[in-house]
Amino acid sequence: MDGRKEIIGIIKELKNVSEIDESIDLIESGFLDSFDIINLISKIEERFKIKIMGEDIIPENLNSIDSIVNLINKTKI
Amino acid sequence: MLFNSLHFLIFFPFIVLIYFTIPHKYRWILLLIGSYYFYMSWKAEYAILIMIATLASYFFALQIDKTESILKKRLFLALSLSICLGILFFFKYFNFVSESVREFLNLFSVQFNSPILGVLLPVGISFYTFQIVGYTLDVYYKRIKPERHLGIFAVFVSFFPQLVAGPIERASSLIPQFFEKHHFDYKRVTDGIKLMMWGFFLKVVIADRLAILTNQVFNNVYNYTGLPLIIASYFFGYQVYCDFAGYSFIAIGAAQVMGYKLTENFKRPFFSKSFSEVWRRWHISLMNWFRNYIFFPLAFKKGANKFRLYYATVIVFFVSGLWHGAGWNFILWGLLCAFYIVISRLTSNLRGKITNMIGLSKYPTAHNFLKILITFHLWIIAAIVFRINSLQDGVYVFTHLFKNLTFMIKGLPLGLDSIGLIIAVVFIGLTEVIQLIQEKRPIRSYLSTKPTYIRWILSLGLFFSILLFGVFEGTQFVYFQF
Repeated sequence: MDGRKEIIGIIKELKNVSEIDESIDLIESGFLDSFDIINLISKIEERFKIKIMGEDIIPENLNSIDSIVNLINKTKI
Repeated sequence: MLFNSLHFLIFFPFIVLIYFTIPHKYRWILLLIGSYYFYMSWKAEYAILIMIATLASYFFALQIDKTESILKKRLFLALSLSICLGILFFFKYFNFVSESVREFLNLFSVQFNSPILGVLLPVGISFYTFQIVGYTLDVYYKRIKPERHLGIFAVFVSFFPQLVAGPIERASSLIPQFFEKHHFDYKRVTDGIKLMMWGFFLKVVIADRLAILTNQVFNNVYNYTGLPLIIASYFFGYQVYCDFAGYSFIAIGAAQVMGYKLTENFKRPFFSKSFSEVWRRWHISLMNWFRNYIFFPLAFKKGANKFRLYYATVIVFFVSGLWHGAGWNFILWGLLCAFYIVISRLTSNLRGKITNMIGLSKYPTAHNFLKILITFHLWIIAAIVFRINSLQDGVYVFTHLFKNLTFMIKGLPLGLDSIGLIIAVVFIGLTEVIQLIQEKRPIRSYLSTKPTYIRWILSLGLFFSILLFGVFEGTQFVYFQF
């Protein structure tokens, strides 16, 4: 399964929804609140076996599925 | 210069006319001169503060970008922030801190005549300072490159539609727009003017009318008990919304006329179903600022855990309270907002269980309505704290809200006669209906399905409502003092 699908799966599970509107800004729209971010980061770290640095947890890195994928790829390097 | 003044009604069309007449490469000069004129028509000498903050942040941002040394980057950041925040502290908080120290020492019978400065608070200082600080931090964190064109950067800091009361813009969003060539677009211009008219309506028809009653009651609280205090509390909650959202709509509309897109600042906050949601709908640009530059670094920088989230929430709202004003009631208001959010989060599971137990979750419409009603009343309680002139007044208001409660108001002046009260209530109701439609779908797309004559009737109705029912006494916007 590619990273993108996996992230969508994590967010669906986290928010208990069947679909995600990928056109919305996940942070600005309030779809992901601060507590969701904690859970999201911890699940990403667990599934991708990476450690995301605190300084990378900024709205720009979390506001869309693509930016989260970029964050993971950047962290893997 | 106030938006709701004859001065602005001459100034704005004049600027727009020249803006679309001159070549694009000279427009930044027009905007810079126009913006400084706009500000200086209030108090000319305070423009020097904007100039100092502009030059300091421009220069140090370039230095931050240029140097490779982390130590030097931090030094330049500290210098830039010290100058900008130092000016803010000196003009806004010095007297408050000085008085608080004196009162504190007096508690221990220590006589200390702390100095009090005879300075006037520069209008909009908190707004443009935050915009500049955001820019400097974005450069420091390498989110953006510094702007090298001093003129464009100076327009970014002083852009007149949003200079004195926001929306607080990010450099990455606003600066590129000054390089774009904007053409005269009839639809965009008329949409901008309609948005401005809606803002004027909220300000002069509703907010300024409600202000007559709320000022009368809150400035003389000891003359009232019961119903007048309750009416004034509800009215103030609505006044502050119409005042500030009205300003934001005028600002966004004015920028739109010239081709600029500013951040949406209000999204019908009274339809919020939780207090967290209120802050995604109220003064959005300020809350985004707090989220980007205070909340995220505090909550996540050293790793994410729930305790840090609560801690960051309390700090953000404490600073938000201070940002709104140099007074203990503002600090208390900020902490109350933090308390609402923390308690709401801590009791979330429990409330979910209770809702299921009593079967309320089977009726989502009723459940949502109840949530909106509770959130609205929490907001009104916070609004009282926000409005009171002193903590003693606040204690009086809260202990007398339900005292001698009758449904008749006799013999006490409320500032508004019964006709004025009816007009206020009718227009609040009308505004809520419009916002309810807006909540379902954008009002512009809704109206676009209606025949042209209906759209004209509505536009003219709005225009004549402003002329007929507006309160034109040059009243300032509540948020100017911040």
